[in-house]
Formats: sequence, structure tokens, C-alpha cells
Amino acid sequence: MKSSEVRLDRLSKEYGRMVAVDEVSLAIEPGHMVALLGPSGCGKTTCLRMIAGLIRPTSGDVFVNDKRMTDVPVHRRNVGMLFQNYALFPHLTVEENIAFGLEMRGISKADAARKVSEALNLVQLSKFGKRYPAQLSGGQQQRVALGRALVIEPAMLLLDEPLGALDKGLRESMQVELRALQRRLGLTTVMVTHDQDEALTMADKIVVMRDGKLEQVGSATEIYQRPTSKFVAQFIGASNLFEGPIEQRNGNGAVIRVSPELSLQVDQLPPTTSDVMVSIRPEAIVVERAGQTPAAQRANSVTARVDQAVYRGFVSHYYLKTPSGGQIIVFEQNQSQQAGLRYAVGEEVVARWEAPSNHIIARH
Amino acid sequence: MTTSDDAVTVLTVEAPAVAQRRARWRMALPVGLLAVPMLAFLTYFFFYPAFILLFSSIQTQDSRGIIGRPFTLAHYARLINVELYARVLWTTLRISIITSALATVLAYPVALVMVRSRPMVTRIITLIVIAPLIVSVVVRGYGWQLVLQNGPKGMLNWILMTLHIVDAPISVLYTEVAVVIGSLHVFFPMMVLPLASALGKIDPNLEDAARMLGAPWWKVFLRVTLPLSMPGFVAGFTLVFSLTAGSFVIPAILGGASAVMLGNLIEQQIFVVYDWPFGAAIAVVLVGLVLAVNGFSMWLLEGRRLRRPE
Repeated sequence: MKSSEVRLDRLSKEYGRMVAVDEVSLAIEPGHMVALLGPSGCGKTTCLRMIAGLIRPTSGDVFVNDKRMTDVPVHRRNVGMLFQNYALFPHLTVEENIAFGLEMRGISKADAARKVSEALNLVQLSKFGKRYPAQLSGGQQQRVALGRALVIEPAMLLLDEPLGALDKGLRESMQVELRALQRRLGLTTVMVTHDQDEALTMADKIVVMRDGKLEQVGSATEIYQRPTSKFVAQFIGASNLFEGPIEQRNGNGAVIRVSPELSLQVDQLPPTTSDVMVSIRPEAIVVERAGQTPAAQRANSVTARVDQAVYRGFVSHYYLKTPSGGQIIVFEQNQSQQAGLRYAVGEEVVARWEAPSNHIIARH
Repeated sequence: MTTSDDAVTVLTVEAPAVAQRRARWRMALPVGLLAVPMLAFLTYFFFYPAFILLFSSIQTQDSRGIIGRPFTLAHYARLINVELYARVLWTTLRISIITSALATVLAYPVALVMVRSRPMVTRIITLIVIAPLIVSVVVRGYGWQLVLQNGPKGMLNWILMTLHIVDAPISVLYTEVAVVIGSLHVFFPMMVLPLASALGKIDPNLEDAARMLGAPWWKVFLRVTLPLSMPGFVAGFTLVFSLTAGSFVIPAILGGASAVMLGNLIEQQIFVVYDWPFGAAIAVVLVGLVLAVNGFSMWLLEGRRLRRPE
């Protein structure tokens, strides 16, 4: 299958005075999987449907391999799509569903039959060809939808929350499977999801959207480790956010004073603004019993009291309160032989972390 | 039926599951009682007369007008063998089928617009479709009589001649065409509403999926929308067919002598000729016809339903 390059050029959609998508520009490399991620109402689905051609943009264009697609009707675009509710034709068998796109392309019965059986093999449903969608489980139905979308050899694949209706275990195995298949076929794919785990698991590139605009575009590690805005830091994973003035500049970094008991040593060149926002991921923080470390105050370290503790299997979540009332969230991985929580509620502890874990947020 | 005292003693010894089922049955009983008044009404005023009707149709009426033995099928034979009567039967079938077919063709676009538009538009169209039901069929029949009147003074003819579409007035009133037009107007909502209901149940994603797989709009309609709206079509067709076949007022006012339908023939036999057994036989045939169409459509719908699950 030939990989296509997809480009969105200042794509916008307005409904009356409501702007659903606001000048979104994005280049998608051939064979890449891109996830549009954001809370509901951020415009990600509208964006996907504009790429599909199901919604006409108010302004802006969609290019596939530098060919302008904006005025090409949906049925001539050759784009495959998976819907959250599968959208299988209930009155047609699995085979007939998969053959639908081939039939629309006027492919001969014999060729179509061969391609349908190949597609059924690809999605591991060879034995289910004669069944009706209602006779299949949710996971099987989405496989049929995948087969139906792939059999037309689409220029790209669009996924609209494709696994949202499946239960957790099945969803995770389908994520891995779908990703492997997409890589093998080298199929340029755009996925819409509100599930950050899904985006992190599946996408080469994550596009975080907010209020119709692009908030941040980057790989999973970039988005997770170097969020550029407070919104991204909080939306992807959990973050401890601290804010304070620059106390002192040293070398390529600075010391930021958050509260009387907490100062942060950052290794990044701080911006010129007076107040700096810093995010620290909860898993970067180490908790120790108070008294084990010298009482002398150091940067990136604070004495706090355990306010809440939650045991969650392979991790424990601790919610700490600093003397000045700030909250710190810590995720600690549990050891296999560990008996429950390591720290009790009310216990006095010291939380500390390394300077590279401090990440300056450019936009508050 | 056990008395409540018996039931209590039985309950104490029975297994919990049985006791539970029995308790549910005791709960359901008063609900069932609610249907009794209507059932009694229908039994006395509908099933009993229907039985008498069926019974009279196979009996003989003597010269004094008394209906009794011997039993005979002569009335049915007469309906089929006498050309005049057989023609009425065919006219009825023809008018009903044409009306239902035209209603289907006209109702699909209306139902589609009703389902796919913004709520405000949907409400207005629904109102327009339903509004004629408020006006009595008789009034609407006379209204159509004025519109379709033969001769240059009829509204339709006046319009056609003013626009120079025809040179001489055409004759529509007192033909089958007039009956079809009138029936179409009266029974149109019975086609639109079930169709709209069926179309409304179709997941819009299915049509989007079909378009994305390469189907132009008309193929989307033929391969997805139409087959999935079949339950609504069958229900609507059956309703319009049954109502048209059984209609009396519209053919009486708009059909005149040249488009007599079974309903008018029955009226004639009962009130003019006083041949009750023959009138009864016609009525039985009419009911049989409608039941057959209903049975066939039920079979169609059942068949579709049975094909899907295991």
C-alpha cells in the first residue's frame, strides 16, 4: 500500500458564531499515525470529519500528496474510516459488508471475493464471513469494520475513537494489534481519542487540541516530558505545578522560590518573566522518612505530611501537604513483596527529586 | 384459581423460585384486570357481530327476508362470477395498490426531510403532514370535488386552461383517478409517519460509512437507507392499503358510478337491495383481503428479523 502525505492548511470550521476548529495547520508524514487528543468539544472530531470530507470546512484546505482534496466529494476520496459504534451495515453479512467498497468500485465478483477473503484473513475472521454483525462481539465487529476499511486500499485511515466502546483488556490488545497492522501496511493514519493512554500507546505524533486550536504537537515522550503549557501538563498524565519568582540565576539555570520551605533548582534557562511555572511528574519524586536526611534545607526537597494514600496495585499514590499548604502528588512503584502502603496517613516525610525533573512551562 | 388463603399456605411450603413466580403472577393479575372492560366491549360490539356477519354470509335469505338455512357458498361464487361484482373487487385492489405505491414514492422524500432537518423544520413539517387529519374526511372529499370538478369551471381545469396546458376541460371527477387523489390525501400521514420513524432509527454513521466506502448519494439510498427503512415501508404500505381498500366516503363522493369500491357495494347491498347475506359475503372478502395483506407484511417483517440473530 502506498503511503500518503497529508497536510492540513489553516483548516477552520465555524457553526454560526461558534468556532469549532480554528486555523489548524498540520503536516502528517507518510505512514505515520497521528492522534488528535483533547477533551470533548475541543474540535478533534470535527477536524477528522473535515479530513474525511464528511464536513465541509468554512475555510482552509486538506491536501493529500499535495493534491487539494477540499472539493473532492467523500465517495471519491478513497479514505478508510472506523467509527466508534463500528457502523457496520446490519442488513448485510460480514462478507457483504467488506465487499461493499469493492462493489462501489465496480470490481468483478471473482476479484472481490478473493480480496474479501484476504481481508477476512488479515483481521482473523475467516470463519465469520457468513454471519451478520449482530451475531458478533464488539471486538469482532470492529475487526470487520477494519477489514471493510482496509480492503479498498485507502490512501489513509481515519479512526474516530475506534476502541472506545470496548472493555479495557480487549481495548489494550486491540491497540497493540491495530498499531502493528498500521505499521506493517505503512498506512497514514489519523486517530481521534480523548484517552491519553491510547494516544501514547499508538501514535507516532500526538496533537493536543484545546478549544479548536492546536495546543502542542510532538512525540509521546515530548508531550509527556516537555509539555509547553499548563493545559498539556495537566491533561497528559498528572503534574505537580509550582510557581514562583526567580531567586538567583546560576550558569544555565536558576533557583526558583516557591514557598519559604521549597525552592527549585532548574537546569533550563528560565524565561525573562518574573514568575516561572515548573512541572514535576509525580513518579519523579522520591519519598523518604523524615529525619533520614539532614535537616538543612536544600533545593528540590521539602518536608511534608501524608494527607492521603491510595494503594493501586503496582503503584501507590501519596498526596502530601507541605507546611505552607501546598499539595504534592507522588506515584511510587510498589515492590512485589511489599505489604501495602509504605507510608501511613499523617506520617511526616521528605519528598525530593533531581533537578532535571523540573520542567519549565512556557505558557501558563 | 386458588383463593388467597390457599395461596399463602402453598407459598410457605413451595421452593423460593416457584413462590416468587407465583407472587409475580399475583402482582400481574390486577394489571390484567385493567384490560377487561375493553375486552368485554370488543367481544360484544366487535367479535360477536363479526361472527354473525361471517355466519350470515353462508346462509340463505328467504322471500320474507329471514336469514337461515340451508348453508351455501353461492354468495361468494356470485361475487366472483358476476362480472359487475368481480370488476368492483378488481377496482378496489387496483385503487388500493396504486394509492399505496404513490404514497410510498411521495412519502420517502417528506419523511427523509422530516428526519434529517433541524428540530424546528421537523416540527413544522410534521404539523403540515398531520394537520389535514383534523378536518373530516367528508369535508375533504367535498373540497376535492370542487377542485376536480369536470367542465371549465372546475378549479383544476380552470388552472390548466388558463396556463394553456390543455385546450378543453379534462374529466377527473367520478373516475378512479379522483379516488386515488382523494385517498392519497387522506391516508398520506399513515405512510409518512411510520417511514419517518423507521428512517429516524437508522444510525447516520451508516450512511457516512457507505459514502466513505465510495457510494454516491443515490447508491447510499438504495443500498443502505432503503433496505434499513423496510419495516417503516411495510407498515406504511399495509396501513394505506388497508384503509384505502376499506374506504367508503372518498369513492362515494369522488368516484361516482365509475369507481365503485367494495365498501360502496356493501352499502348498496345492505341498505338498498336488502340482500344481507350477499353484503356479508362481500364484507368477509374485504376483511380477508386486508388480513391477507397484513399477514403478508407481518411475515416479511418477521422473516427479516429472524435472519439476523442466530
